[in-house]
Amino acid sequence: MTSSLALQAEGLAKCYSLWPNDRARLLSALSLGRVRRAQQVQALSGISFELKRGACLALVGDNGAGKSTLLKVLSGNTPPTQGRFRTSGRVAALLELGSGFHPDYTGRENVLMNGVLLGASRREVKARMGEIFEFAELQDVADAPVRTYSSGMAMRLAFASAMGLKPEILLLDEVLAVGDMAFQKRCVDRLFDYRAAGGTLIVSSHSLYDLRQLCDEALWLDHGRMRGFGPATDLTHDYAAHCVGRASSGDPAGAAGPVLAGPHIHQFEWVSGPDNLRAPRVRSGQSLRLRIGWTDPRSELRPLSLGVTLTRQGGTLQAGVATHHDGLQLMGRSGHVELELPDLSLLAGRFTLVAHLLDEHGVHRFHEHALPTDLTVTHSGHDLGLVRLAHQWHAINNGESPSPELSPPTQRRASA
Amino acid sequence: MGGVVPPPMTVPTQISSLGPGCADSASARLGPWSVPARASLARVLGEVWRTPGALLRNRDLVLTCLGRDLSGRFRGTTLGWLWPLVQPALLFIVYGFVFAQLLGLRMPGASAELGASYGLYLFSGALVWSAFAESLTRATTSLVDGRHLIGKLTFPSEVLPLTPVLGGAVTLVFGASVTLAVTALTGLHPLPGTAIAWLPVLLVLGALFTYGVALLCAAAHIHLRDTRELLTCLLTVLMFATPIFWVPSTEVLPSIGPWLGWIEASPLYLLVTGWRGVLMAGQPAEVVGLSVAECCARLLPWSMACAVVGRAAFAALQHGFADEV
Repeated sequence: MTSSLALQAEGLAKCYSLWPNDRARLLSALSLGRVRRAQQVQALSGISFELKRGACLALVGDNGAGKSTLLKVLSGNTPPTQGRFRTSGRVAALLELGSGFHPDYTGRENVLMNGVLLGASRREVKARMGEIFEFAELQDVADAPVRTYSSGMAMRLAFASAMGLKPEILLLDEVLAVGDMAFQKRCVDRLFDYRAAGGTLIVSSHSLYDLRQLCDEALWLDHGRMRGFGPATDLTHDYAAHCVGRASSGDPAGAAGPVLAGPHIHQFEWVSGPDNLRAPRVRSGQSLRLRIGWTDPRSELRPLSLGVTLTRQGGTLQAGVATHHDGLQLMGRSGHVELELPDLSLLAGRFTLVAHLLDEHGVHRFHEHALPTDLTVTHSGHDLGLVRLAHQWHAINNGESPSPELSPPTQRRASA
Repeated sequence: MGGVVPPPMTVPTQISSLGPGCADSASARLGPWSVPARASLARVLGEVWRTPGALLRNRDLVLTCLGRDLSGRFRGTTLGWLWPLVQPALLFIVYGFVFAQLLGLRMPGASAELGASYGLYLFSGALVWSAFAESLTRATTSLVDGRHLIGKLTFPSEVLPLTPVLGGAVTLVFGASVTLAVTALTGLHPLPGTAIAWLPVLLVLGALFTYGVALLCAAAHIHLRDTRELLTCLLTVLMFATPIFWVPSTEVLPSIGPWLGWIEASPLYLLVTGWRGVLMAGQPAEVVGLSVAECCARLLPWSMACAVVGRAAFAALQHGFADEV
């Protein structure tokens, strides 16, 4: 089954030398490494994993855990100090958007340069030029210098130019959140298309929500070591729990994280609905009940809002409800609420349920917590689309004769 | 060498293999292992051996960098492509005034109808020198200037110092064409005739020599930022040590005798003299000295040696560049 692998890494390690000053580095170079006054920093050690073609791997971990270093090593930008890896050949890395963009050159010239730096041929880049500018929605300014672009426009062009080259393995380092909302949506759509076409993706991001949507596997890095490798939903959940746990246990290193010291959700589980909680499955039209527990460790209490989103597999946000939409707010050190969804009108599909803890206006998101297992909704009717709308049909008699009828097909039923 | 043992060059294989589609099942096989390797002479020599092939495979990258260098070089300036002619012209005017006018220096064996020859001698020398010096200076800083690329992208970094060298060659061809055109129009000096066929040979040998020195300087500049300043000083010394403005002949400079052997062994002398052999049609022979063919023959070992040594030094340090810049 080796042929279906896109990437194989065995015991990768990366060690950086930190030199006290340039003279120490020069001395070491002149003495051919016999005199060394460098401090060794082990950025990565013992990283081993395999990735199948078409898989999407999320890299999670705190700042400085080695996510960027791993991507740099896998992209071939810098060699590993120990271990080895191999890839199915076509790697493109977006370690930073717009590497190689020069402000004085036009968008077109920069896309060409960026493309050949990523390893494509001039002919190939030129052939895809139109497509790239169309995706970035920058056709009108293709021949203007990049310095006249807004930073968002430059980012859009950078993302479009990298995606336009259709590499087999794509490495993305914290570059998911580019451009405006509409463009972000199209980026994510494009990444789904890329995966559907058999592309392999490795993404590092702090947005666990995005990673959960996009990825099926995750690698958790902690101080350069592998802390976990497994299904993305479980591992991002574990990582989030670890962040929260560290915050409540007063670990000073945890205070840097965005979620940790703030209000968070400590419980999110089924009360009623599915029978089997390991593989929750309900029928369309059934009622659901979920319990959410929250904690607010802040010294000054402020009102909070809770939301629950249901995202259909593939990334469509199917529905979201929130207390602030319903004119309610939460207050207190901690508490529990239950959400009842009577008569679930969703049609068949798999849904990820995530609880969000927000500020009173629903603007800032303090924390999110996903159910460990997706909810499967089944439906036996013939309704079309994504939801079953509550509806009724009425026959109107405008004086036609004989008056039109709206009734069940009794004769056909009789014959059947 | 630094704490990180330089592993083999995995870059070119990855770069060159980025194909047009991602759903190509034929390419699903895993490539060779990328491993950290020991700093061995065999590996470095292997790198040197593979360089021409690697550059050929990455020719699109080389061409794009060159095109960008040439188009961006004089972008926004009013004189534009006249600028490569300005510096040699200025040197020619200043030194011509000082040497010919004030010091009364004359070329031996120059007859009355070759009155403009000393001017051409100065100008052609300055043209070749400024192309060499400028390429080398720009190539030395090319890695540090391109640090945003080296640190984030995966591509063969030996392309970066190559760009200014090729750019210098293009400027030199342009300057030489203008010089020949002016010579032809004014008719003050004989035209080279068939000797012009040596021009590509001189270009290649000169570029190889410059590239070799440039690779060495660029790699050194990453570790020692004094390299650029040192190079500027050295180039000034070399400019006067090479017969750009003076004629290496005891008839003109009686006290030059003991140094002549050293000067004529210098690759820069050979390069400049070779170009003069073409641009001045080798006339007057007492002034130009060696024939073009002889210059090329003597320059060849210099160029090859510099290119190999420079590339080897670069290859030995190359793997640390992404971490060091």
